[in-house]
Amino acid sequence: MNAAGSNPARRNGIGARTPRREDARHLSGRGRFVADMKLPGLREVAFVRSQVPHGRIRGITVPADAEPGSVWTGTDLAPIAEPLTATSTLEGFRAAPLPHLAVEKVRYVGEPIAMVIASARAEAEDLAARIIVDIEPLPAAVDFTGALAQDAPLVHDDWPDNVYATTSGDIGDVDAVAHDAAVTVTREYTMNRQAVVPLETRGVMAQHDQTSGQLVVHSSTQTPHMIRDMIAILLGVEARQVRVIAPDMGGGFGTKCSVYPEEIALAAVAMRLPYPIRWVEDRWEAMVSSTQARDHHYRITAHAAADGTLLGVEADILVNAGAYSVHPWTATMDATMSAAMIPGPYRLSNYRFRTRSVATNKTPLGPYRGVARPGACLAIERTLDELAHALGIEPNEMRIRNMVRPEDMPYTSVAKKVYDSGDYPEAVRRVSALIGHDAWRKQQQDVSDGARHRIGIGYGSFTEQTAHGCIEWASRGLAITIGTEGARLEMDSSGGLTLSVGIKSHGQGAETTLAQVVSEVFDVDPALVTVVHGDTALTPRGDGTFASRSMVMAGGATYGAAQQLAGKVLRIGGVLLGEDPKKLRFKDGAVVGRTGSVTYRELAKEFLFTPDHVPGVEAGLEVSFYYRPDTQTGAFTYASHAAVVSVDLDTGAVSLLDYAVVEDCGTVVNPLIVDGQITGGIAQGIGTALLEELVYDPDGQPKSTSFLDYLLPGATEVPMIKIGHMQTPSPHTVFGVKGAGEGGAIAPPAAIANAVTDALRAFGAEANETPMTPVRIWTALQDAQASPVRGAAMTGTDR
Amino acid sequence: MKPANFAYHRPGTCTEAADLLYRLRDDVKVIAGGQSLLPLMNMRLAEPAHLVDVSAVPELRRTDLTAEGATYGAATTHMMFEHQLVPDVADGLLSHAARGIGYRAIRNRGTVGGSLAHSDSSAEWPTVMSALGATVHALSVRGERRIPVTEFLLGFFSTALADDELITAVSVPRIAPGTQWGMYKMARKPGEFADSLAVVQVRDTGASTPAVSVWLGAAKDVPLRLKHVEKALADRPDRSLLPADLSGPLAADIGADTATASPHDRHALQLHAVTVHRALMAVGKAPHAA
Repeated sequence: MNAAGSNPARRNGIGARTPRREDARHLSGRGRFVADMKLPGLREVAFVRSQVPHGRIRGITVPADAEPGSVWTGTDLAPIAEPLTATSTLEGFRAAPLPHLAVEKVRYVGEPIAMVIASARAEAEDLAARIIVDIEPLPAAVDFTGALAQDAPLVHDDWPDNVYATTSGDIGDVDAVAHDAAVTVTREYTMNRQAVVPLETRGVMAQHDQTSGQLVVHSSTQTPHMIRDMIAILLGVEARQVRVIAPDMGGGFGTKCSVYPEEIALAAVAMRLPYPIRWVEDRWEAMVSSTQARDHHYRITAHAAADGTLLGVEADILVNAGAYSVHPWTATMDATMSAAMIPGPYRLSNYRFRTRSVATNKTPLGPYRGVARPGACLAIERTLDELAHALGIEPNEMRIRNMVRPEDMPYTSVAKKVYDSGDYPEAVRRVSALIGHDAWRKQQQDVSDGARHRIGIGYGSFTEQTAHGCIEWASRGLAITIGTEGARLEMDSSGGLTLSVGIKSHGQGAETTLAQVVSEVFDVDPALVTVVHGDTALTPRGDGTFASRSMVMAGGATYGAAQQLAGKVLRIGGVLLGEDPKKLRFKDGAVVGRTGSVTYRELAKEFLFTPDHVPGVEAGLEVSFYYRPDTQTGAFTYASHAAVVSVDLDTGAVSLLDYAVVEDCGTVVNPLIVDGQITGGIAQGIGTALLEELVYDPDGQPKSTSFLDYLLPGATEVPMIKIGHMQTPSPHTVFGVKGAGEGGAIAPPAAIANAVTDALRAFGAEANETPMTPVRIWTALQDAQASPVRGAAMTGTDR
Repeated sequence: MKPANFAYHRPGTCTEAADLLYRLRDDVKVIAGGQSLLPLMNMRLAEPAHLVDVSAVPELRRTDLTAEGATYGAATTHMMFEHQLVPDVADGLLSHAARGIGYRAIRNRGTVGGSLAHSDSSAEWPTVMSALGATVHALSVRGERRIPVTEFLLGFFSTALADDELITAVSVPRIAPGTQWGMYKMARKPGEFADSLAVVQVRDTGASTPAVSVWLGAAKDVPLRLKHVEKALADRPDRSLLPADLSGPLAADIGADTATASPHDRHALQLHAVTVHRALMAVGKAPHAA
């Protein structure tokens, strides 16, 4: 196993351990975020937000002494900004227009009702506190049971029930294999709702530039071009009149890639004000009004043969999508992804599923690292362990027996996903060795019966579609089918290279990795390549950074632009050196031939200052390239995680004794960055597994909206992660790279839940709900001891 | 999440501070480290018209050591206790307790007086100071008075302090010779407020059974002395009790009805039993004062 596929000999290019060039400015406090911006006359915005989960607005009273233009309500905004409607092409999908400021009804705690402008944020909050919103409270639809009940309160009055859409499929013959199965297990799993917690909250600053006539919007967003498009559409202006800039960002993790009401509201109002305005989301707002994540419930029935062969799976999937469908992902994003990922990395031919995406009086659900896969992985991986246990097979062996093998590649899954490459079983074998499976089994057995703790080992495997193209998004009903990225590469008159890309690096280190792509082609130090991103005025069109797509997509575009520019530079070099361009090469920032060489600096100066010295080469030293992979089914990153836990029988507390992962994200561009992404993703997955939960009371009030109650993983909760790499290049992408951003977050809930259940086997207690809090584990133990027949599973009560 | 408008005052002496508090008593808060008050103000759960910042009062950082014990200035930070930059008259317990408070940045600013004034029984100082029989010194224009911590803490966010009174110091009696202590804090993560917090002291009285005192935080709105648990321990002086043996007396001390308890309440009681048990097991094992 090589360490992160590193190639220590490489200074430049793909595979080099190039330190992140972004780090210097961030470590020395020289980054520039939305909240750091200073503009003359800048005023600050606060929002009045709903404090009730569901209610009818009877009236909004603005203090008589409020300055004109300082308070904006939904009524004021209606004529100047269309509401956002995230439609879907899925059959029967019900759209739910999302007002930027609530009109008629409020549908979740945190929904913006009025926008208030003052010279300072504290003053804006003063004024906001004096606005009286008269709301008639209505009963709320909160959990699945409540929202799906016959007499459930309707989140959207004109719907017959609270279901955005139902999808289903029945492939093969599950009933026939059920009849033949040696073992059948049925379990229910709950992955509770989480906040997405980037260190930097959202922020928007909007200014109508009187000189250019352009609306300039700064936003902490992963998708600047998409925000620009939507501002133009909803405000009824041309996109050329709108510039969106995403400056430095302190993370996003998916919660900054939807179009938000605050972005549209500030943009619309700024068009009518002679001064710039800014809103910086505070932490309470972030916990209630940024899109939230997970909130899934599963009922899985699986059938296996005596040798462990997985014969068939039935899945009933519920997703609590919250009050509105967010653009462009829609309210069925999680459900459709989940249904497609339940079959996992396994050879499965018989699969039946149903998904229901449920509308409730909770904050809208949006993307979060892993999008639905952590839930799907928990459900199938826990079930697989139950089958293995029933059959007396070790869980790692159970996975190896059922996984898609290298000789099966490319493999079309039962859910019609095309797994492109890799050796899935080998990842399980390697992670078993990396964690020390046999040694831990021994330690587990050595724990005495009288001890007040137990040790358990658990595995979680997955395969993950990354960098999917248009057809994938279209299959999930999106109105926008994402799948193209642009890059522009320019050599300036001093021979320097500037790359501009439409994606937005918000912590992934793309300023480093994309420079490495350029350096791979031109053999220059990546530090000498400027990478521009996050400004619609300066970058070619692109869809943004999400879905583990940027290295594949922007990397592909960058490579295309670099190849084309390289061809031209070689032709210029050929003229200058009097040699055949085909025989020239790049070395250390110069074009090198048989007899001589010319540095990029000399070459660019000759070509741009005195083009007459370079006859026969057309003008211009820049290239724009748009990349769309020929195969749009995505590059599948896969991994197997292994966790070892100790469970405290007296308290139900779970501690991680060891954690290992073996993953394959294809060709590794930068081993340092890939390892960082894996470790960070696993940390967030540990949060899902053990700590993070947005608790709503039965009335729909969120109860854990500060870090006092909402626990995040920190250095003391994340053990040293052992990482092993395999590198199977994707046949579909440039360099064979696969996405690496999300995978770390997918398997920890599954691996840890399997480890906890393994630890508690003797008691018959199971861990089937996240987060696995001490109270849940301890209660499962008590219940198991009270009903020792099969043992009471820690299933969600929230049905 | 920005505080409402307030007027800021920064007295240089206790007398000056007391005068200010008297004058502004209708709507004033004392601020020292600000580790609890500032978040409350940012969330506008507290909107005092006046803030009296006592961080520039040197008297509040003084420690007076006597044969009986020590009087710690109210603005002594958790960090000072943690690193024993002030003498630890409780044989290491003060240092041990301080180490568990929040995070480094919080310990650097937060103060013992502020913690007691905040009166959150899931914090360290209320329970530890109750267990040690500490006394709060309070100053107003009417003069100084001394209030035992057990009478000072009235409930969650509620103390015996008058609106115009300032905590100037906390006196902690020297731990009695022959006394050993054990403390255990149960929390989801290091640095979080406690789900349960127990302090046990065992004093060898020369008699056949040692005197045992057990205090519990985070169970009720004020720290509790666990009389039923102490009795159970007196009956089993070898400390061989298990958490299960402690649940009954604990429920009696807390006033918990185990028959009707929800799973959360049952787990909470279990955590308290385990915490008391672990504090008991820790008696005499923690590092002593330097």
